[in-house]
Amino acid sequence: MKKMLWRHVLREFRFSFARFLSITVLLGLGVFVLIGLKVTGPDMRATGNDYYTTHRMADAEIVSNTGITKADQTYMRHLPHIKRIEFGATQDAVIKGTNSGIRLTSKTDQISTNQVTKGRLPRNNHEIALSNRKKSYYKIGQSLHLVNNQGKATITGLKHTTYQIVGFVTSSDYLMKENLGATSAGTGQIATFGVVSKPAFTSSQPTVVRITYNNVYGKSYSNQYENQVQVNVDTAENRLNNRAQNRRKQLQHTALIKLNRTQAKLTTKQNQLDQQRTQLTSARQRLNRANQKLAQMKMVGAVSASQLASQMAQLTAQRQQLHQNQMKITKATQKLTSAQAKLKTQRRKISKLPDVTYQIQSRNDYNAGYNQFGEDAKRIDVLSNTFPIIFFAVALLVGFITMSRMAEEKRSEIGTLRALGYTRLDTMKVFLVYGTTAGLLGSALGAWLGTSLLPRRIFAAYAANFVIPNFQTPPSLFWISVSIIISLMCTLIPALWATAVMLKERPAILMLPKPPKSGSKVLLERLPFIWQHLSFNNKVTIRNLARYKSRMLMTIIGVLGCTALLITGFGIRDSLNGIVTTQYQDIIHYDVIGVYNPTASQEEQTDYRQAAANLKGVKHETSIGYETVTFRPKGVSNNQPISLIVPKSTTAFRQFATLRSPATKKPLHFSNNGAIITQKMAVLGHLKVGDYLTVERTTGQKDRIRVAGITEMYAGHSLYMNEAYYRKAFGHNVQENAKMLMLKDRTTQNIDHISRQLTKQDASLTAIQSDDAKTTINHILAGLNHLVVIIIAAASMLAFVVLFTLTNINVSERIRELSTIKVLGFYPMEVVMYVYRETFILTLAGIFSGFIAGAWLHNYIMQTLPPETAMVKMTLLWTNFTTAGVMTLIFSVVVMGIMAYKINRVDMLGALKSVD
Amino acid sequence: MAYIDVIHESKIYGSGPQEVRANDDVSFEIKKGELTVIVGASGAGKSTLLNILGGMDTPTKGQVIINQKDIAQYSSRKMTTFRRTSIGFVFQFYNLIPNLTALENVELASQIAPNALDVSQVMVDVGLKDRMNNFPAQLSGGEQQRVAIARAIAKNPELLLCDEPTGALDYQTGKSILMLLQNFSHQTKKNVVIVTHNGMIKPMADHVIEIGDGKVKQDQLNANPVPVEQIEW
Repeated sequence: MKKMLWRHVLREFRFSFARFLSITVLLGLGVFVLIGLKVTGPDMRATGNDYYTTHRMADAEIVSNTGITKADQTYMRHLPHIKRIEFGATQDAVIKGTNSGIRLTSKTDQISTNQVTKGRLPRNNHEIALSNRKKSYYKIGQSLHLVNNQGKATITGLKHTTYQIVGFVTSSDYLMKENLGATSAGTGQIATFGVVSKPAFTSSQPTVVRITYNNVYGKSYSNQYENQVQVNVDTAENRLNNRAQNRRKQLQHTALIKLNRTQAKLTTKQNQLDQQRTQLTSARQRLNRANQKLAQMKMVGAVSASQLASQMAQLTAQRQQLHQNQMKITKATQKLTSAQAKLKTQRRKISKLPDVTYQIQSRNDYNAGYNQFGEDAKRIDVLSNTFPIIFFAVALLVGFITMSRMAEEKRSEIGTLRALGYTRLDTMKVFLVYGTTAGLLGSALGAWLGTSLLPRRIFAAYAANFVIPNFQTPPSLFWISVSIIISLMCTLIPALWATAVMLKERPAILMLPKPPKSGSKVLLERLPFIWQHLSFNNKVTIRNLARYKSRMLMTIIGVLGCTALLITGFGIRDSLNGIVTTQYQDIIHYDVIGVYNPTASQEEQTDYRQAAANLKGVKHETSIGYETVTFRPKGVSNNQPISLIVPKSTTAFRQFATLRSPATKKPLHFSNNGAIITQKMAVLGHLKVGDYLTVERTTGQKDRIRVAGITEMYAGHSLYMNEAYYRKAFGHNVQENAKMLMLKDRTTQNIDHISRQLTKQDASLTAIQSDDAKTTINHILAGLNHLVVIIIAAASMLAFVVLFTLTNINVSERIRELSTIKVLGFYPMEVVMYVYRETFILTLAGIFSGFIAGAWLHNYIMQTLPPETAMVKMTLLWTNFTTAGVMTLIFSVVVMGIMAYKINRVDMLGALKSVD
Repeated sequence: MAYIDVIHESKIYGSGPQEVRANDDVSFEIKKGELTVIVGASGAGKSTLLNILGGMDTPTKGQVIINQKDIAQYSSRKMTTFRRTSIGFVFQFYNLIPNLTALENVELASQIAPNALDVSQVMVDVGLKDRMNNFPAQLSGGEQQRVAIARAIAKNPELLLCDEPTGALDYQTGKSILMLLQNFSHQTKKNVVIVTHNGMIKPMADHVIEIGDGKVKQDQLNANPVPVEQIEW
């Protein structure tokens, strides 16, 4: 039994507890950040996937702007790879007494089902189940009153407007808590949703089709799954576009038949009328003739007076009747003319019948929440590829120095043990046990916090905007194993390597003290004109710096890493904060785009335009053509939505948005030869001025657009062009269909209020608020702020431990030197500065190189972190640098304080008496 | 008037049954300009005494009056100032800073002392004129001890305290170091206190104090000190 050897090993922990703690903490930090960031993305996706699976979320959806006929339904059923298909309807309304828009969806049985959290699903067309989010606002049994945009209790498409609440449900269609989608009801954004039975809708023709595929495998968000769905969707898209065009022709055809029938009727009537008129004319002639005859007879006196009088009366009556008939005919003619006119407008309308859309979209496109949740998870993945590397690199480095230093300290001990006859393995045991314990303990601690705490914190931040509950944090065996292996490598390899080198020497030599590292001239001494002007202390410091080159480098790298992390942490926050100001103060000046239906009657359209112009609180307004198109750059998994904006007057438009070059801030001008695209589109599509991009319209039509300019924009994609280029690009004139408004009062409440006023109009389609994106940015910001706090805290801790460990080693290694100058009469502060001056210089060097590394890291992360629809400012504020620098300096000073305490307690005589 | 007056000084570690008296009621006087040798076996308490004289340790009881000031009452800060301005130390292990040249090691001390001597001159005085720019690792043991002495002298201290200055040196080298110390004392009329276990060097001193079991065993003045060259041991 080598009991004493084990006792010696165990005592090592007690004697060097600070060192043990710092290694453990360092490794723990590295593992914490690595595991935490690596698993959060997958955890989020797994949680989402579970939610989608329980709700049997549709793989794809077809949305139509008109009812889908039985024939088209059959057609859709036979699209390739369909596993299940379900047809449904939706209708938007306003909850009575509020501005809130509600979307009613028909109950589903197989796909995108609703999970009941309380109560039950509706069974008849008087019942409704509301969003689970409304559980605290409404009670089961309560009645829900709905109104249309004008506040009237009649809603097109719905049989009833009053429903009894029978339950509360969750849905995979609505993953976000706020802003569930654009609508024509209420403020323009859907506030909540409800589920009603199918018979609650008046039309039997569905407008929404939910599809699951039989050839998709893998979990949601996996490439395997997303790519296969996209392939299916792309295949179906062309077929559906054709079908939609046919449907339009069919609709036109039906309408024309009906029209022609009416026309025919009208024609018959016209003919009849004409006949009547002829009859009337002949009748009048006859009457005139009779009158003449009567007058002749009167003159001749051929008839008796009584006979004459009766004849006279008869004639008057006939004249009156004639007059009446005349009147009737005139009226009928008028009626006919107006009917004819009506028919004419109808005919025009039919020819201008809006395109029928059968838009098929994958989850990423039909469900903004799905996409955003995935993007959020992806953002963490991006971070997980950089931050942990830095943490681990620094931890590794310091662990390495500490363990080799430990081996150095144990030199004579190793010699003694070897001299006593212990085996090499025995002498190494202390390092094996020490290193393994520190490595395992650190990994365990880091893995535990990294598996539970960090992902939960991040998710809590994101979940603020999502309804997805039950975040799962299963331990990732892979990443835990990787962490343990790296940690053990950090602690064991340096110690074993250092001992292995020592063990090659004979024990006798090992027992002798290792001569202290001797000094030598530094390069600077060869430059007497500099060297001679340095103070004595500076000379000493420079010598010392040159003496411990490797440690010098490690201190710099350690501090560099921490400073870079701090800068990045603060920088991310400010970059994101910065875009809100720039985007909504410097670039976008409009508040609302009110979109109306260009196929509505002229009267309704005029009403809308006048209402928009006369709304109280509108500062400026202008007319535009507004359309949503998409583009899919190479390497991007989903279609990017683009707002296509065609101002009626490009001069007036300047007040509403500042289009300027991102770099030079010079204003951009509309061109007859191309469109102005936003910055992020250019980045995604690798587009330069002069390049072409292909956009797809809701009808499925694809057109090439030439890039005439690239404008600064941080959130959302937009395409700006003038009317001339629109005609060139799309082959027809732009249809003016929207009003862009700038408000005096730009608060959310007022914007909501104005939006509500617009959607009340008959012609209204929807109101798009420019700050819809603001909400999204703010949400991302809030989420990242939490993450940034964690990163900053971890980086601070790292900085602290690194400085502490390195200084601690420095002090303990030079304890004799410090004792000597203490005996010489150096005051405590002078003693501390004697050794700390160099740490300080190294810290400063680390901070400055950290500035460079931090700027680079920030730039890299800011390029990869934002979602595909947004970008952020790359510039770092000088405060990011100063804050990070000052924080690192503060850590340094705190460590200095601790060291000063330690140095002052050093037994100077003990250190001087001993050989070493 | 005595330059150093130690009155009933005791240094006691621990208490109760574990009490250890390193110095037990020590009293003696040293006049200005004396070369004093304190002799005693290992563990007799002589080093403790030297540390107390040098302001590196405080006595548990009693007074230590140096140049009319009781340093036993000094605060840690005052003790440091006292070491800085008034004391020069020489150790058995030279304790040179490996990273500084011989000259720089001396400068290290001179730059904090208010009345420091010219460093180059001191180096010449201790016989290191040609080795000034060497690092400690490049010097022999005797040379290193000379640097240590030069470092102590360069501060121009009132009192030079040497703890076994020849302990790590060979006979001849040791002798030359002692010679250096004796000359310094007699030429500058400054007090030098040498602590040693080697009783044979007693004749070189003006004043010999013998310590045993923490107490003063013998305290005698030597009217005719012998030059170090003539002492053999």
